[in-house]
Amino acid sequence: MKITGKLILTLFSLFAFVCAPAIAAESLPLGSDGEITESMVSDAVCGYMLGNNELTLDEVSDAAYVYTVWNGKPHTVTDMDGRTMTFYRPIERIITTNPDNTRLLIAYGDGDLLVGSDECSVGSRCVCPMTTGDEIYCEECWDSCTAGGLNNVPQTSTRYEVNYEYMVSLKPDIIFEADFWKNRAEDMVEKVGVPVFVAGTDFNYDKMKEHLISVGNALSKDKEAEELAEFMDEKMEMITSVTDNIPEEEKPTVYFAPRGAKKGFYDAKEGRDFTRTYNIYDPMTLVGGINVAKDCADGNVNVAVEQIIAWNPDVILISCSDPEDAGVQFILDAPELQSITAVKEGRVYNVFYPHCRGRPSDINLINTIYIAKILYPDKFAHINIEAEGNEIEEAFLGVDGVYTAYSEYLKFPVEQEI
Amino acid sequence: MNMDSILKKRIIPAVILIIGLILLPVMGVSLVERDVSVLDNTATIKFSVDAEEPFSVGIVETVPEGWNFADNDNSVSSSKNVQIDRKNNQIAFFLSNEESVSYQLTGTGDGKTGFKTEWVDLLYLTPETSEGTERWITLGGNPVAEDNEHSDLDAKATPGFGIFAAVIAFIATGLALIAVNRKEA
Repeated sequence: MKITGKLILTLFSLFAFVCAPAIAAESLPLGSDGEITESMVSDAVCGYMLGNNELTLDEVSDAAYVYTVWNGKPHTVTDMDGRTMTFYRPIERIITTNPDNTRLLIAYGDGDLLVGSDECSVGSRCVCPMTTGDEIYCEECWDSCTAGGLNNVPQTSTRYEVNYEYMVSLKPDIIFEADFWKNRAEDMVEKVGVPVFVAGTDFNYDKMKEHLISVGNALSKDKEAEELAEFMDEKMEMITSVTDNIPEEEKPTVYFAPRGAKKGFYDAKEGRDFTRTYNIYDPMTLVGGINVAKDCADGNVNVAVEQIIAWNPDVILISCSDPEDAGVQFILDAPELQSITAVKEGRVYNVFYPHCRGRPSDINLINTIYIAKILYPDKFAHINIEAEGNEIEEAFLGVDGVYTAYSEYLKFPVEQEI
Repeated sequence: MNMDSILKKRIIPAVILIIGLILLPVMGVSLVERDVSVLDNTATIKFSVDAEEPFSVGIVETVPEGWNFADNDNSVSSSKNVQIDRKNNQIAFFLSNEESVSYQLTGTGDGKTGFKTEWVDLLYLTPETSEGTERWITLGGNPVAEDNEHSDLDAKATPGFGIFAAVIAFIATGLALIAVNRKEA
């Protein structure tokens, strides 16, 4: 009995010992209770610089950060799922689970803080250019997005599983979770023991900007987020200032097949193909395209071929992760579709794939301009899509030439006449 | 794996990583400048920070012999965020979104020769959990890597200590329990 008591006491002590660092992270630097004042930081920093105290650079830096960036108080944020969390120390070690959040980290200059990420951010083409055959393009992008190279960041998750033990070992301060996986966020908090911030976007332009602002707020990069949102607004305004003046009856109707026509009209295995569409795709509708599927109930919907024929769109847009599989020629040649105006007039076009384990806002902004040029070639002939694309990618990834690299292997941006 | 592949997958990333690590300490966003004006026997030293807000830096200056701080701290600098170590002829400042700070000394000379100024960007974020004085920057020079008496790197850079301590605790607990058992038996 005595031994059991001692054993429990020992285990309790050991538990407390192991948990001590985690508990410490739940408090402000310098042992402050509630708020760090200027005099506290000043004494700490000056004493540290003079070598007159035992404080470390980590401790005084954390204190200076909390005082300067967070006004001396803990940083409380709410994610896009309405979950609130509080940070007591600067966020310096980050894990992401999908490319949309990884991309924003890089856009805000925090790429070097990425200590773990998902397979599509670091091992696929979702952030930096790479062919479906894993051939890297624009090496500068891969090398400069994070310290040591984006493709050398440890992979902590895939499409199907999360390596929680690996995440724990990387000691993150925060995990950015995709909003389409938000149901696993609380489980992740429990298993990894750090705040999990749910954030993501879709094809609604306001949601794209909300995503930028939300992640910026979490990272205390509000200014950078505002600047990126303003940049997007400027690009959008460049198009809408023209298309907003076009009468509705002059706007073309458009059918968008974002999953291509790789297997034809419908791929039973993936549950989608040419007949998969969206009722909302702002990069198409905000620039003066009338979405024929706008009245469909779901955002992500499969429709019958007969319905597409009945809609009789003026233009058909197709995208696929590998443009070779998009099936533009298949659609143009399909006997069932020959009555459609878009097919008869040859107005079936490849556009940029709007997915990549998420909704890449950089690519969808490029699509906005690219689609505008397709729908209204005369009105936007002056726009150099390569220059615009490179500028957009530079705003997100800080590297010039990313669009040019995409063009080199996607081919359609160069070869397709629009 | 052919040579080209080795070059692409191993050597180039390694070189970039090394260059990145070398440059890392000097990549802080803040930049501190020092100006000095001498009138009669009084030198006024002004530190300016050229950076976008928010910024925060720590500065320490070691003053050579021949120069003296006034006895009253307020006569040395009007800054609220200053500490003077007269014993070691040093003065330190903390600046948070404050573009400049100045202090005065009495003595002879040009106010430059023999002075040593170091600063550190306090808002520079890094995943590194045991930063030391290698991030300090000598004004007009390179990051401080040596000749610093209060490097905190050695004291903190003890990777694996937690695990080691836990293992020792387990062993010690086991030995203690065995000892108690024997005693009780």
